[in-house]
Amino acid sequence: MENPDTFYDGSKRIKSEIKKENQRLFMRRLLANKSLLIGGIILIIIGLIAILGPSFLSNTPYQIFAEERLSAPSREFIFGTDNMGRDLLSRVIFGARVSLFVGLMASGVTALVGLMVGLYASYYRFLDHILMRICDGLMAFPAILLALAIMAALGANALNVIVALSIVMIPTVARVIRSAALVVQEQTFIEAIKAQGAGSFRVIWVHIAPNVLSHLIIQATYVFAISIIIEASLSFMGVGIPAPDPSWGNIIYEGKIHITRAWWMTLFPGAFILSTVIALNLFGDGLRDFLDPYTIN
Amino acid sequence: MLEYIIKRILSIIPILIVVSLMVFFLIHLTPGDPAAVILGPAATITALENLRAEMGLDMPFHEQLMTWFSNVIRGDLGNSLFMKKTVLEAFMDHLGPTLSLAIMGQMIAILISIPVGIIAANNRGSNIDRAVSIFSTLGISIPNFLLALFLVLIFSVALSLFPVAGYRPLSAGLWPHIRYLTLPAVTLGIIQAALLTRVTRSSMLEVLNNNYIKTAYSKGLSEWAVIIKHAFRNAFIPILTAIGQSFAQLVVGAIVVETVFNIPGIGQLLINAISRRDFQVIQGAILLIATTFIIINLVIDLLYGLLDPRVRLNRK
Repeated sequence: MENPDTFYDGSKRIKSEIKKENQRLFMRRLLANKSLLIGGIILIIIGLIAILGPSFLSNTPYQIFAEERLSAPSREFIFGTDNMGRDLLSRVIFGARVSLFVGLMASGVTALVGLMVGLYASYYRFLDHILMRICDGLMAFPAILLALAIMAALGANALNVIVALSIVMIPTVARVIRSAALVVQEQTFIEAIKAQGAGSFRVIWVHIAPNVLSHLIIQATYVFAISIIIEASLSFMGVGIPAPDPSWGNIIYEGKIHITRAWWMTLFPGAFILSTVIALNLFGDGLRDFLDPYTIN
Repeated sequence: MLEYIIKRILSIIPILIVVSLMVFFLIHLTPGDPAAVILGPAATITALENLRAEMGLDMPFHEQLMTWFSNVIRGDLGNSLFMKKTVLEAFMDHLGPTLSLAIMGQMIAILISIPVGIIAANNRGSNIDRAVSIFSTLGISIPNFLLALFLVLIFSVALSLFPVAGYRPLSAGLWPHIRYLTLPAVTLGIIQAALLTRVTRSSMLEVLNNNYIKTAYSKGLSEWAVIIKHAFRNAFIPILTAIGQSFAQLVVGAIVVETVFNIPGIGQLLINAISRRDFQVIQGAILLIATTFIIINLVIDLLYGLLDPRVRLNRK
């Protein structure tokens, strides 16, 4: 008679092989997804520049070299200097910290509040009407203009930029989550869980929320990209991150009047904005294909 | 059809109410007393009280709300605190350049996107198609003010073909008007074209898969006759809708791009109003823009229903 232990071992071996095979498939799908990979790599590089960059810098972003105003890129100042004689490389790298932090916080707040609004709107009919009318109202305003008006009322600083961006973007996320959650609620397992007597809190957060998570992650990536664009636009129009703190947008704002003499003040921060947004869009597209293989692009 | 039109028109009323409520609350977002924020720390008490009375801030909250609503319904958006004009007059004064720019941008976008989208769809999967898709990804990713500045660097600073900034009204002659608006309009056109090219391509692809296209080919029609006469005509309705819906976005883009070129349009009005804390103008302009967009979307929806009977039948 066979020893039950060997049988157990065999099953364990098969299980671990299945696991290995799954991991292999996972890796293969990951590597086949070029947008996800390229977007991810660019994002990691930009993130590393923002995190580690400052420790390699010899100048702070506020240090003024009065004699070196508007000097072109050189060995000493790789990105050149700005109109006040500050090291542009240092300002762009610290600007990366500010712009990425604002974008990250805005997309985090937007994702969290959007998830809550979307879930509760999908679950309670009376809330649905109120919340969705508010969303309709907010979405009737063009995003940048609403953010501009909110900034005008609140005053220009980094925290208010995060608040303004979140207010502008929550409705879109809430709508996506709401419609995804409505689909989940149609399914039998929700009915079964309700029949077993689960409370509404449990149904919403334990059973519906995990099933709309992939939508939320994809949305958060796009929201991050839009935040970078709107923050840069607000700062460029002089109502975003106030001087002397650098952000990609306000460096370009300061460079605008010197554009005929100092192309570097526009080009370098501009290149960072562009590559971050492209990387985020690529990453978002890749993520969408990866998390939901059934959607046909 | 009449039922559809009435339903659709009535559906915008709650949105308009919510929108005007939000604009009303905007001023109450200001931390502290808006009058004190506007006049600054050096203001006298009488000046503060006068301004509060002028803005209606001395009234109880519900009265302020009622006054606001009754004024808005009558089309009275108040007076600018700094310019000796009503908000509506100030808005109309600045509308011309913005509209001129948006219309030029739209024309450029259509001229680029429709041929490019058709060619990409007709050569699906080829290198041309891939290049087009890279173009639209880039166009969707780049912020409009940044593209504007890059174009200035290339065409004004390096090549000196166009002025760096400025604006000439149409009354100064057609040629200077166009010359000063070229770079901003091309900026808007490229970004808008990125979006419309995608729509044109996918709309064409959908139509090209139909059997009547095969029939047209098998009748021996030339490729271009099939594409233009049979495919494009049927692909056009979704493209038209996309053009209409994105016009609002284009106007907003124009408002941002204006600030790059110092064009005296709605963007400049808003930025000046913000720096002077002219709240009446900010509120009025935002409300006017949002309302216009709601109405534009309504008109597009109704037109869509008119052009495509499936829409109005499905939504009943």
